[in-house]
Amino acid sequence: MSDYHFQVDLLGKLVIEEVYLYYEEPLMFSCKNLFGHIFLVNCIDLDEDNKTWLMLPITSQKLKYVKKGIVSVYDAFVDPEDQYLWKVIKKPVESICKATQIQPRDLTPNDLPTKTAYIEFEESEIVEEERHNIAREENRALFDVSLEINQSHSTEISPEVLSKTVMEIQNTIYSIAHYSGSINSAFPKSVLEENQLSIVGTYAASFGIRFMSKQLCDIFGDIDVSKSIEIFMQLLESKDDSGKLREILSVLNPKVGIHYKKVLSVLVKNNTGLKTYFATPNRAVKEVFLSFIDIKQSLNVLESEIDNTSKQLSYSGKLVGVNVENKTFSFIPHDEKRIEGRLSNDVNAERFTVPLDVEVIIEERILINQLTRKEQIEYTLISIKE
Amino acid sequence: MFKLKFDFDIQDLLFGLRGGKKVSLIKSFPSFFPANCPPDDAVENELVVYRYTHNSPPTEDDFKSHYEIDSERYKDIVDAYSLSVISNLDSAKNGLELNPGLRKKFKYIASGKVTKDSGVIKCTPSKNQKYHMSWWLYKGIKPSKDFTICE
Repeated sequence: MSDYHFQVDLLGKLVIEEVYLYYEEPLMFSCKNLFGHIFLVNCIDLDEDNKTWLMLPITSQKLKYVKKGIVSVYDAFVDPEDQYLWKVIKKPVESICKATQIQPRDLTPNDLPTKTAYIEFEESEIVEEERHNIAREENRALFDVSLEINQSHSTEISPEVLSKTVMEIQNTIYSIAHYSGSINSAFPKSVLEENQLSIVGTYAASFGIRFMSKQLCDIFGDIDVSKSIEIFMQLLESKDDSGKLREILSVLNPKVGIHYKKVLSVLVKNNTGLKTYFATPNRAVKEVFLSFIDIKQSLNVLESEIDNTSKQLSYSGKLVGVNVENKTFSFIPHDEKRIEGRLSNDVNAERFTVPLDVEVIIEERILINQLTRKEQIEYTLISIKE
Repeated sequence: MFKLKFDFDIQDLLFGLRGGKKVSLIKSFPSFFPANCPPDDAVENELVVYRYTHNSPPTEDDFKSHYEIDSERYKDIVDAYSLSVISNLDSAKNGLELNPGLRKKFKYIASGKVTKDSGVIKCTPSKNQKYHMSWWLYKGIKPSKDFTICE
């Protein structure tokens, strides 16, 4: 057997695809014959005069499961998809190995991996360089999000979880970019255009979603959305560090906390962990991993951080209604949605003429409902100037 | 005419004592190494590694490269001049669990320290086996005495 290929009488020429265990020579690997049939191969006897291999015919999907630990290596050998395996013997003087078909019941524990043995599969190492290359080739920012559904390596996801996660990630990115905006305000067209991500496909991971920037990078490999994605990853990275989280959120649009909370809530509700990878043409891959527990703890800290946070914002627009008895108001800012809330004690005029063109200062306060854990925005009119 | 007579081997002349240990003063690789061996990016290093052994305590037989075992068969393979070692004990244990061939051939896992005087080493992981390293020994090095059985 050479390093890369070998000849078996009943199976033809086999080329090694991936080596899973190397010790002086490849001892466990996958290989393919000319017809594309895949085999998982394990050496069961290293005796130089009679080197023996077990060759398991396997589909690429099952091999993926074995590599990820969804199916143990032991189970793969004792329960073959085709109900049989090949025992292949290589004698030093013969160039062609001899194969014999065997049944799983013919195997002894001495021929098998132990039940706890695993393949050291590291997804991030495989694709890290690949990600950077893709970002360079496409001249776009690449953002991979891998969802670890039910804390496993499941490769399936419900449409609801997928759509909610994708939407809230995009909304968080928009909110980060819209740093001067209010909770109530819609994202400006420029923010939408510069920060839109496109889903370009899925990739091999638990459930890997590949986003790429809709716009191309400049000649230096930079792009506006990369700053927003980096801040999003900083939020993830801060995990349950309340100080760090506060520091990041304090300079951002309050809407960031709300959308980020929605991302985390979807993940917690669906018992899901998260791996993210980010690459631009001019920068290598940055990665942040959060287990389900990390996400749960982050969500708890985030809720207490954003609960009762407030920001005062100036608007110009039309005051369309005031109830001086209940101390409530209704105001329509230019180009934004109607804001309704309470008058502060400092606004003590007894009579208002509406509608009225005014400049106002409104305080936005986020309150988390302790029972439902849903956020509620409270608006207080602080001052009015005609 | 006065003539000196030396009663030692040239190998002994090339060795000295460092910290009570016999070490090579002139570091060179065995003459049977081919021109491209070891690769340029293999470096001297100090770290703890693990190696499978058949004997307890380990003997020099446990530290023979494939080339030393069968020079004709392995002469053209650069990796055959090196020794496989593993830099993580859990990975070494999993290797034995994963592969019946290794389990039958080797009974033990020995740990020892690779030193800068022993040779050059290089991380040679496959993408699915990140702790595998290749170790090319300097001429005359006998590593078995620096390794002890740990599993």
